[in-house]
Amino acid sequence: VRSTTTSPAVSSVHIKSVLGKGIVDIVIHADPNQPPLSLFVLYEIMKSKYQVLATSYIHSSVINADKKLTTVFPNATASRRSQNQLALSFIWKKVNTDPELVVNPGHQIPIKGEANIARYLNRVIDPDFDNRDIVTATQVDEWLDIAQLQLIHGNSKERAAAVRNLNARLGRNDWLVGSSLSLADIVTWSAVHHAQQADSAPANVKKWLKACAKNANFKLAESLLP
Amino acid sequence: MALEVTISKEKPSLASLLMIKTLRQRNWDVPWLFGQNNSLQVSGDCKFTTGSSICRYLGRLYPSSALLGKTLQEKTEVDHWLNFAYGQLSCASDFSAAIQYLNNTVGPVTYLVGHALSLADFAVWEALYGSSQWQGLLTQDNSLLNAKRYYKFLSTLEPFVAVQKLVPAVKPVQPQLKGET
Repeated sequence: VRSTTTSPAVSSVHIKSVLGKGIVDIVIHADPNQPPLSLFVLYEIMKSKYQVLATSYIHSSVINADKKLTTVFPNATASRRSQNQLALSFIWKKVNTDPELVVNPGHQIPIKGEANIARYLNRVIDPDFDNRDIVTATQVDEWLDIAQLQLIHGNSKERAAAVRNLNARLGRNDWLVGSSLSLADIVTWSAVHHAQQADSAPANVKKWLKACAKNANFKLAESLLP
Repeated sequence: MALEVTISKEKPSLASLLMIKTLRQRNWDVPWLFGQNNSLQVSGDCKFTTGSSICRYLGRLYPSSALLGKTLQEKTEVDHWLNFAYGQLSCASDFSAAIQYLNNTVGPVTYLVGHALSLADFAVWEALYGSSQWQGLLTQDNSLLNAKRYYKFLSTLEPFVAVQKLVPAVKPVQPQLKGET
């Protein structure tokens, strides 16, 4: 009995209270040379659930940032903040290879890595994600670990192995987990581009990259590809 | 449900063992045995074979253990530490930067996430326990005091004591002896 009661309640109470007491600030620091594409897909999905105020800023240390990144959101004025539930800010600056997320400054360590930031945004979109279908959630995490540790941070051998692994899975299935697009596809799609494996990708991976890009939620992220 | 976890005799997932021992301490018995590979059979066609996945599945199976964190933020911090432990901290060339980062972070805290033991501590402890660089540092000099205090504290807790009995630590690297071999 103990094992079924508290945790789901804690999650949903947390998110309700977070979104209830006013606007929640989600601040992401990212390198303009390696935009975390999956987060823009999640932003599109987030908009269908919450009122999101999205802004992007270029840190003064960055010279010659791509114009696409400065204009990715139509920056709204501060007076509109109160009408929103979430404020998502991208700050483009030189970070140590991984993008960082800060939700609660002073009370947390910055969360590093695109896959982990994506996990956070996904939990905001779907607070019950970790409890509803625990097999699926764990399978999604497995692909996210591959994306983060092998595609984004791996050496050329590890990248090639990850792409082979992807190709094998996609030979038997249209999507990485289950029978529809999931967080696993969103983050892995981004990581394949990040690792510059898209152009040389084998057939099944190419077909899947195209299928992802057809989804309307990928349009903004696609526009940021070099 | 007949849940059973196999732990590899050759390359044991220590974080999985720590999850199992901690759950057991709290009266959730997860049967396990030593075998060829780390694995957890979920159903006919679904099997988890990485330490991270076995731990995440067990944590989700017993959500009130809160071993994966309590809030949305804590859950994501656990993910952050998992990637850190099996990425940077397990990579010899990134080790010195990683251990410095850990040392700075654990200064003011007892546990990595929130105010309780979590999978984050299991994964980081596993990476340290298996690191000959770390085992060498433990016996030397006065640097990295926070990280050493954190590691030594965890090592005295019951689940960690049990795991140390099951799996011997790696031999430390002792740079000062290199010339003699």
